Amino acid sequence: MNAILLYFLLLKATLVSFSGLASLPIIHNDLVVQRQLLTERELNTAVGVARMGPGPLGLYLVCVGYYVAGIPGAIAGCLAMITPAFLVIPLSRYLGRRADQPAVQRIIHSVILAAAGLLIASTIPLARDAVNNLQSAGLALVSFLILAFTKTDTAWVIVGSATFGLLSFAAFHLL
Amino acid sequence: MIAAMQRELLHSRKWITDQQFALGYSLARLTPGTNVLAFSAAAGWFVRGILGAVAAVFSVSLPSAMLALWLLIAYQHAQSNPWVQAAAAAILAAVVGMMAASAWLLVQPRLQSSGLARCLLLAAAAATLHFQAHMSPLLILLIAAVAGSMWKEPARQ
Repeated sequence: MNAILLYFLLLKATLVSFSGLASLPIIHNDLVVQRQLLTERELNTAVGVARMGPGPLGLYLVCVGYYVAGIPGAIAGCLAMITPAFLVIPLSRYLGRRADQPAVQRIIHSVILAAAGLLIASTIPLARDAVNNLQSAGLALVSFLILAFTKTDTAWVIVGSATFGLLSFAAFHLL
Repeated sequence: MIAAMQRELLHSRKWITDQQFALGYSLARLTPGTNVLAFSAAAGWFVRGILGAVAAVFSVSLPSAMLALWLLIAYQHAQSNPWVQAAAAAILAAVVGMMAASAWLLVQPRLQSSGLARCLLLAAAAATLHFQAHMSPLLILLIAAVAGSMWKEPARQ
């Protein structure tokens, strides 16, 4: 796919998401379900690889871009991730202190809550692909509990699960 | 990450004022996309105008973007190795948990102000419309925005 078109597709997702992985349902719908440019596994891998290092949550867009269109796609993904940030400048000029208005806050709250629901809905097909036995179900559950209820950095969960995967592989094949 | 920037920009170097920090913080949460990037853009804008914003956003995102890209390419080269496959399968399972946790972390800070019933109703309605009725996520977010603009917050006790 053309990297410029990809940029606008990814930008559409980042422009309507306010935090975390909220852009993921739109990416999933556009690239996995509608256009089939990306598999469930690739999207899941993109999120996992991006969390191995430091950086903002939206970083997975770089990996998504690379899967769809190679290096130009990765650049498109990176630009789609950072473009909306510049909207803060017109916002600070024209909105300024009024940003704290309850009406504005209510709209944002509702959009974020809907995004959480959408995120759960798009996690289901990813889970069907990645969670297929007792071990992976346990890993998914433990990862959820650690990340939802402690302040542990996601990178540790990724490193920990990789270590666990390696150890159980070693135990299964070498013993 | 924003806390680290607060220490550096506000307390150590005094490049931005308390008020600018607070304004940047609340505007960043309002700006679409990643909040940390929007905050960086705001901080850069306060310090050096548009060039400052561009420099701040690129310096926050580029190193980690290049690292992520490098990791992905390295992974693709090693994909056929059974050890790598074992580690990757475990990571993919953890990512599913991470996504669910990310959804929870979007809901959790809003439980207090919006009330449990409203949070669950909105999130469940969005999930059902998308997963069962295959409605486009963009349309669902739009409906949520309209609903949010009309829905009064519950009275505080």
